[in-house]
Amino acid sequence: MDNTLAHRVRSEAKSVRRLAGSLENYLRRNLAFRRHPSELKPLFRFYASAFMSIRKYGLLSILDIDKKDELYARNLLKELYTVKRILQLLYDKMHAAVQAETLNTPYPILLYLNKLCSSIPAMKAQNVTVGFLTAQPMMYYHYPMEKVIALSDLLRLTIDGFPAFPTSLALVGYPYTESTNPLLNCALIHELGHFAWAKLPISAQVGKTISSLSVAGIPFGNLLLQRHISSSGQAACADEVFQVIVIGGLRAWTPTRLPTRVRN
Amino acid sequence: MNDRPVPESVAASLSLSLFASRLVMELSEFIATGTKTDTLHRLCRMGEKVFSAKPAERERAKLVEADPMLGLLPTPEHIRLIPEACSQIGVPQTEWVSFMQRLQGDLQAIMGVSGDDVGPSKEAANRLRRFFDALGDLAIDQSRETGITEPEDEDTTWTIPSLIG
Repeated sequence: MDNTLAHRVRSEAKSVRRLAGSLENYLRRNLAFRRHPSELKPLFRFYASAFMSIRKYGLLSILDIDKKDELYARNLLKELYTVKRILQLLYDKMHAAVQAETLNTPYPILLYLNKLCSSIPAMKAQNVTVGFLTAQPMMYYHYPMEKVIALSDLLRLTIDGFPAFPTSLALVGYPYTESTNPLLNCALIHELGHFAWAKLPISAQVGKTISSLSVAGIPFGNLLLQRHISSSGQAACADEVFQVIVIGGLRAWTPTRLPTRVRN
Repeated sequence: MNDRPVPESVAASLSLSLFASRLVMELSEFIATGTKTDTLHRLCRMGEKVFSAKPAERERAKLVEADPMLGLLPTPEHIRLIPEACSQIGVPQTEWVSFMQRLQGDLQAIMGVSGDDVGPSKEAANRLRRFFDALGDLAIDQSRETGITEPEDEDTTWTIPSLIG
């Protein structure tokens, strides 16, 4: 193997180590000075442990690199580059979680959503907890984490000690400026509904019925939904229609006075 | 770094790239030392799923539904990479399906190897290494092309004003 390739591998490994170290410092610094809802703890634990294991991986991956063949070294270089991109992807969600400190989030609604989850047997069985993230664009999000979970499963094969993603955490994002919106509870329950749709066997039970109704245009045949069907497909549209119904149903149950909790 | 959400398709391309590069490295170790690690075994099993992908959309949908490792082949774009990877290593695009079957056999041969009986499987490991090396390159290129763009439509919902409007 030529020296240039070995040198490139070493410098990429160094860069991965340094980046993981910086992200870990950023996380720890913010956790020390900000107060976050306890629901996000599993997520922060995941990040801290992920960065630590990646730092170690950056060091261990290049041991004996001179003794390896060229194809191995070339693929290690690719892997290190990919891990660096994955760090970027992890940072994206971590930053949104770090910003969602207790003072910036509608904390009583978060308590209410968690109470709601624990009152639904299927969600209680999966220990589902809800966490808020702040979203940069002016949109509400449910963050589907399936691909990140699949990615972290692969990382566990690659990197020693890489943690499993907390799959029972429903991550809901909302624009920072909307935290005082009186209709926030509806929108957040709508987003939580997407998580329930993905996690619980709802789509198998009602998906086809909703799809057939929305295709026939009765009673959901408005222009917005037709546009949604053409751009995202019928299954995604059934999910969206279901969430609209969920908002209506759950809004009726929402107490006028939201629960509060005194924090130490 | 960019603050905007990273699209899910980037996560998928990175998964494929990570899988391909790790498999090549494990196969290299297998050729050099004859050691069949647990990681290699698990990656080979995942590789079989890559090869069982059919070009038809309906088949792909079934595969994704049945297999939780959907991160590997989540979009038709990823399936299109397979014939392209074949052509990069000199296999005509028209023969990619039969070549996949051969590679699937190679993976099974490696998984079936026990003890010192690694000789015949080295040729199979080399064939697999060349293919996954090319596939990994293509997956990296794809993740670069996708870049960090605005979030995809299916990940978002409407804001309240637009729902009312």
